[in-house]
Formats: sequence, C-alpha cells, structure tokens
Amino acid sequence: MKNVIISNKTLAKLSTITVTVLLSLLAIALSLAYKVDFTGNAVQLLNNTEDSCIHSSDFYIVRFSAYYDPGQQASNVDYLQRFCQAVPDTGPLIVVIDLMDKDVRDMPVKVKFVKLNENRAKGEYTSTIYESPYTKPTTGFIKNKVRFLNAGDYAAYVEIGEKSSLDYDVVLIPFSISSA
Amino acid sequence: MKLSPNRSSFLRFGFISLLLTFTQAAFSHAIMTSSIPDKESSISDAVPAVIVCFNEDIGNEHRALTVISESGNRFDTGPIEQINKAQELCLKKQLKSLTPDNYLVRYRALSSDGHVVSGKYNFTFTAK
Repeated sequence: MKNVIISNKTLAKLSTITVTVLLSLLAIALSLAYKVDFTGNAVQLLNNTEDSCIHSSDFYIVRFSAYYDPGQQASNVDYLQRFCQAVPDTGPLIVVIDLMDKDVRDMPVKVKFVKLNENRAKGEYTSTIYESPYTKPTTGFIKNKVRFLNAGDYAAYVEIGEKSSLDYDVVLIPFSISSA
Repeated sequence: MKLSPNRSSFLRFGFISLLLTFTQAAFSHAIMTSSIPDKESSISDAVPAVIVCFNEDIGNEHRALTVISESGNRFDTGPIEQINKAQELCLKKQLKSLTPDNYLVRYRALSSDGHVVSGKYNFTFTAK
C-alpha cells in the first residue's frame, strides 16, 4: 500500500472545496424543501390541500391553524394535528394565524374570537371569547391560546392595520367546534 | 493542472451561481410585469379600469384587485376580469370616475406553483 502525503496547504484547500460543495448542496436542499423565493416578490406558499385553511379579504390573505394545547398533557390527543374548519372537541386551543402578505409584518394586527349565534348569516355574534391586543407580527404570524368551553359555531376576526388608515381591513374566519 | 487561487475562487463562485440559477429556474413563479396605470406614475387622463399583468398563469382562487384614494374611498367596482395576452395574464377591474388624488392599488393572485403573489403601488391622478 502506497502512503500519500498531503501537505497542510493542500489539506486546507481540500477542506475549503469540501465545505463549499457541502454548503451548495445544503442551499439546494433547503431550496427544494421550502421552495425558497429568490426574487422576493412572493412571500408564501400554498398547497392544494390547504384551501380550507386559507381565508382572504379584499386586502389580505391569512392561514388559520388550530392545535390542541400541549399543556393539557392528555395521553389520547395528537397535539401535532392541525385543524382548520372543524375542531372535534372543546378545550384550550393554540390558534395560529399566518399572515401571508409581507407588508402586514409592519402593521398592527389583532384577532378577536367570537361565538356566533344562529343568525350568523347577518354577521351577528353572541359573545367575545377572547380578544388579543394589537401587535406587530414581525415573524409573520400571531399565536393565541384560547379556551373554548362550548361546542358551536365560532369566528375569528383578524383586524389588520389601523382603523383610520387606508390599509385597514378585516379577514373573517368561520370555524366550528364539536363536543366529543 | 494547478489552478491559481483567483481562478479557483472564480470557479467555486461560478459553480454556486450555476446551481442557484438552476434551482431558481426550476421553481420560478408568477411576478407582476406591467400595470395600467403604471407603478408610481402620474396620469392626467382618467382610466376606466385598473389592469395588473403577470408573466405566467395564475390560479382562480383568492384573487384581489383594489384601488383606494388617499382620502379613503374605494374606486374599484365590479368583478375581476381576466385578460389573456400572448406573454402575460392580466387581471382587470373597472374604476369609478377618478377625482384628482393619490391612489393605492393592491393586487393578489396565486401563482400556479402555489405562491401568493401580492403587492401594492401608488399612482396619482391630476386633472387636466
């Protein structure tokens, strides 16, 4: 067997090349996995199975996701399961609103959860379950923990922008909660 | 063959650029290419409709096109229409009679690859 002697200089070069190739492969892998947008024009990605989770108004588009609160520590609950329109049981939920328009990250946003009455076609509601304070969602989403005690029809009103501004609009997200 | 450090760096840069170019090409999506009125333009002839065009196909869901004046009034009216051009696909919405003011146009569409393409721009209408 022939011994090959590699100088420190060559070793450094090989290391540099290896690191470069690995970083390139990592960049490609991430691009493929997350469909990274290099142009900066579009900001979010939808897939066809998520249509029921997406809600829009004239100005804004958001994605609604509800999860059971892991703090309950119940053994028979899948805390990673996401619900969009129909939640199978009452209880505390972690509700995540993804704000898919990039400019919204600099705007004040709040969300109000209400229980709808039977006359929901008129947009009336019986009681406010929870109302978050205005926050600037610099990370592109807002997350709230809300306890829903009763089954029924609910709605989340996502208010975006200051009421007096040209950018103000509300996205309405209806959803229902059953009682297991 | 021994490469000089400069040439070696150049080759590495070229290799990475090439890979990124191919990755981007594989996953390109619609972008807004033109509009009427034009972005940040000042017009003195009122336009009957606002038109926003994209470079490739867009989906039917979650389309939006609005025009609002600085004084806070909506000027877009009616449904969004689609216009198919040779190299572009455009969304069009009728406008009420414009009054001299600054206007904000907001647009949104879903690219065929699922990306949300949204944005906003201003134009000014000045009376003749």
